[in-house]
Amino acid sequence: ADIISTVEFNHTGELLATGDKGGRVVIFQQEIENKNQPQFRSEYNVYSTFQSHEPEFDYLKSLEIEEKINKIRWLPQKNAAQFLLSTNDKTIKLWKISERDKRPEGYNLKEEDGRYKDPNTITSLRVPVLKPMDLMVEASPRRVFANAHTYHINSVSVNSDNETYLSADDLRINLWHLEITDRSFNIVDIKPANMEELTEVITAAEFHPHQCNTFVYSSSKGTIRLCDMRASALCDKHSKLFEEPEDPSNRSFFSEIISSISDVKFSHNGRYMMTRDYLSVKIWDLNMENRPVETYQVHEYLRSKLCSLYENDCIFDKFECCWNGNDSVVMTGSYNNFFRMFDRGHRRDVTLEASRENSKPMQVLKPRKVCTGGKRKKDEISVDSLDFNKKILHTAWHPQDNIIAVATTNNLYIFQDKVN
Amino acid sequence: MSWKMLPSLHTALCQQEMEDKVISPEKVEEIKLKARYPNLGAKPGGSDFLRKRLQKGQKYFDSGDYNMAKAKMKNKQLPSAPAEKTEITGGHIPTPQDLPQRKTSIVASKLAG
Repeated sequence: ADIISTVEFNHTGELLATGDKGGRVVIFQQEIENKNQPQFRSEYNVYSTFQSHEPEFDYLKSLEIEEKINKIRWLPQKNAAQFLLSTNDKTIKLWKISERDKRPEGYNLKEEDGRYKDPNTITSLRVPVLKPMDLMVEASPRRVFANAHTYHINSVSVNSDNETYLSADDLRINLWHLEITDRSFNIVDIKPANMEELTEVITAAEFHPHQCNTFVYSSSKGTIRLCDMRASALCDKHSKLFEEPEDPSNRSFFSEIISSISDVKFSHNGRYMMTRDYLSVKIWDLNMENRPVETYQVHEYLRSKLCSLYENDCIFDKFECCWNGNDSVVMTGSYNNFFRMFDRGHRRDVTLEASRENSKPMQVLKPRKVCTGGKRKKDEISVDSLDFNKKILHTAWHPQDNIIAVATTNNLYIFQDKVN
Repeated sequence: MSWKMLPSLHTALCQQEMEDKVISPEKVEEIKLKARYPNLGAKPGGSDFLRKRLQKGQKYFDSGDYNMAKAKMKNKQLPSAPAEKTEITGGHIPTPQDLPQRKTSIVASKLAG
């Protein structure tokens, strides 16, 4: 139940939320030392923990509904409280996280412990005073958006209008208003009339960061469709279709499986989007549909291991990807607790490891290398000794600073760039 | 008359053979897979995969079945508790709290899957 299933920074980066397989959400808050100096050191400490979703049973279909949190998305802050959307396979919930650091004292009709006083003993009137108390962080569910998805929800994305959001399952995408829980609009429906004809499913969806009418969704066939909600109520017809043509001579049994897109993310500036498929990360210019502008190989050495990766189901692992604050670097996870960063401008990439055995806190991470050929150099790891159970599927990058959160199966690692 | 292959033609033919033999690593893996699972469907990444994916979530016969399975899970977590109880010997008169709890029936309920 402690398996981390999602990681997300809020819009300022001060808060970091994680969701796990047991339906719990843990929020960390940044504490900065030496705020005034450029070389600040930040620490993330537990701020709030709550049970977001419970396991449920669908009586009609006799199916178990997992409480695992699939996605968490923060709302931009509007007032003193923080809001986030968390979802499992079927239900999305809006949670309000608020702080309480004062409490009223000196009631007229109540004792300090809450018992009611006998009104006949009261001889004078006083005004209760607010006194400081130890900080208490409370999480309360404000909205429950249920019963709108027949299939399993894989994505949630808040619109830039801060009033609506979308939720996507394998075959449909719904548009919700944050205030309204009893109805939602279906905006994409790719369910075929005859399920035997099913050839692809929706794997991820996201709203454009600035254009409130634009969203994209990716498919298991490696395509991305961009839709404009101004065009029609039902966005089954895409405005743009992003697909890299495949070389038919390279086609194999695995081609379609490894082309399935596991994550799609717009760049912060809204001009590009990044997709993650099994072996690579691709950057697309929204103005060019026929091929990506950049392609980065995450772990190409796995291409000659596809047979075993199919047998142990690893070929179906869904890796996420993320941009840094100024869209110059992208990051994604791999196996053996490795994660990869690609510096777009400098054409550099690095492989790092998130592990307690191989690095101490505050120690600079040493780049790792996987050896593919015959002769293994010292410090290199051979492909056959990679641990495929140690997968990094979820990573997040602070919206402004070079602070990253990397989730291994059971642990959360936070790394900060060393400022010289 | 004996025919001799011209050197250039010979080289060209050899190269062609080599190109045909160099298969992409993916194809090699596919051949391996098909050798292990000869009954693998002809339609890769097609409806079978997707259908399995859409059906994720353990299916139970009915809600009674589901609740029994959940109860079994909880019982599995209990064993450590009774072990902590100290043995009762000789000079101590047992009280109701000291007695072990009723063991679960050997005959399972008809609802259990």
